[in-house]
Amino acid sequence: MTLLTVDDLVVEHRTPGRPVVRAVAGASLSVAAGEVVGLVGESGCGKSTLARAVCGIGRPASGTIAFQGRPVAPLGLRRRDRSLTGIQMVFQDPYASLNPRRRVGDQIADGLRAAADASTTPADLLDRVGLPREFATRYPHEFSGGQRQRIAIARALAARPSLLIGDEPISALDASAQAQVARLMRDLAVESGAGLLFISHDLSVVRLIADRIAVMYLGKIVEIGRTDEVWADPRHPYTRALLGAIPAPDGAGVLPAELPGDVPDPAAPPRGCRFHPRCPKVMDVCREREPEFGPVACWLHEPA
Amino acid sequence: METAGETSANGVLTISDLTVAIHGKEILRGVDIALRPGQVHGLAGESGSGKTMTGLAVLGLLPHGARTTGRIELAGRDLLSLPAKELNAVRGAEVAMVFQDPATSLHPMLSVGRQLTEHMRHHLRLGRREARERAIDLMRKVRIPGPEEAIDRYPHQFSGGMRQRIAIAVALACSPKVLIADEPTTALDVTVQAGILRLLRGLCDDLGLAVLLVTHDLGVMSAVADEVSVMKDGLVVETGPRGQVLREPRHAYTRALLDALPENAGAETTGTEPSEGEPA
Repeated sequence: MTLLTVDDLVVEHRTPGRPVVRAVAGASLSVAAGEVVGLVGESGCGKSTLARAVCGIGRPASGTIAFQGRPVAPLGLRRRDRSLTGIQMVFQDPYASLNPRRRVGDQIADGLRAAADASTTPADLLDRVGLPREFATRYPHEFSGGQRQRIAIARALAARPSLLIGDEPISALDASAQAQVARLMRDLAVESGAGLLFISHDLSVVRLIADRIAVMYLGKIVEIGRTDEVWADPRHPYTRALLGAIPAPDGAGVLPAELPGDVPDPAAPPRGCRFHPRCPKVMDVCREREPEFGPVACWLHEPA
Repeated sequence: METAGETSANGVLTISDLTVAIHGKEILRGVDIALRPGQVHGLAGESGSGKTMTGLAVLGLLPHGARTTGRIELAGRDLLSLPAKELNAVRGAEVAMVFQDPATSLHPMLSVGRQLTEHMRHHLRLGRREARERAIDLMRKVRIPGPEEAIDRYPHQFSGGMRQRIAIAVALACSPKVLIADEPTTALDVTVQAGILRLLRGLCDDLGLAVLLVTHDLGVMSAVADEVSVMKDGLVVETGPRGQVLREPRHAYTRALLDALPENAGAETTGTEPSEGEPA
């Protein structure tokens, strides 16, 4: 069953006196129950904006976001619709997403209240994320980054989400805690039958936990497919470049290939295919027309 | 592995039998590492194994209450027993450091030019104009586009990769002999990481810099390090040339680290089927 469907989503950032930035420029994506979808791409490609739109933070300029068949209304001043508390998010920086002045147990209890869950205690949730039960009476500053992110995960899980979103949940963590926390999120989501949309710029971690990978470039999803297939046979030149840039631990001393150039300014995306100025396989058609198809949005892989 | 006599003969920085204890807890339990000019020495290990502490100890940046024994020898001096004033002359001038996150290691309210010239003027006693010219040169060296204009901008006006290049330029400003890079690419995108690794390798080859590269990423290690040391619980369990440590590890722990990697993490080797993480 499809839990979340994002269809041709466009999100624009408007700043007075500046050109409109199309952070998400027509992206489509779906997440099924019990499925883990990894969304990867370089910083500035719009993956966080997409995640926030799914939670109702920010109003889409066009396109639709449907959660369990119902449209996701942007978050306003009123209390959020009960059905939408099924979407929970774990943010990038646990130093900022936890309230420093409240005990972590109380913060987890907020989630339990949202789900009207009177039988579970915050300590049970701490247990599930692998922390000692007695930590519930402590404050966020008493914990390390990895522990804090576990607490943030516990708080999100407390609301019994059917869709968990991780917006770069591991990038603020110590390098060696990253894989652990990512695995924990996956296990907990899959265990409870929820879907997980996991956003990260770290391909090697996404590969470990995702069933499907969506690769985003400058506001568009350029390739989507099963993780093992994308990994074994990346088809979009951008996906190839991303994977090719990961150094192999083979002891050969080969420097990874560099993708020339920077991500272009999303306020003035290049004409035609968005990747063409950096693409090693650029053709004439790429400069003229944008490939508007999937699962691989590249003129080399145009569906017949 | 080499003997101690050999390392002190041609090493620019020699760490021998370094121990660090913080509040009675032993963090490092006898670390030996020798850095040679023009070589990248990789330091691998899990979180808490003491790799960062080793780097910090060289610069005398250990937390308060840390007690050290052993020797860190740079050009005939023991950095551990150097008075604060003399250590200040070493830090930034002879030994420099690059940290993980360029967003926090650069000062947000000072222009990059100011951050690039401050210690040059202090250590090398350069004049304002001279320091500025050198800073522009450095920015060119780390391949920042348009260095003449870029020098007056602030860190937030640069992307993450460019910021890390600036942090490297800051570290290189006084032509140090030793550069300590603590997870310099962990906060960056892979495509940007590739550029930084090439830069580090190039600087090492061109300037004869001795680099201590602290990283958990064995792929990064394999790409740029000449020698690799693997740390566990405050001890170096294995040291050797990159090819040997990563291909034929002698120590069980190194093998365990390598086995823990998802197979064929390198993408350019096609034809082999990758192993799935775990099925859903």
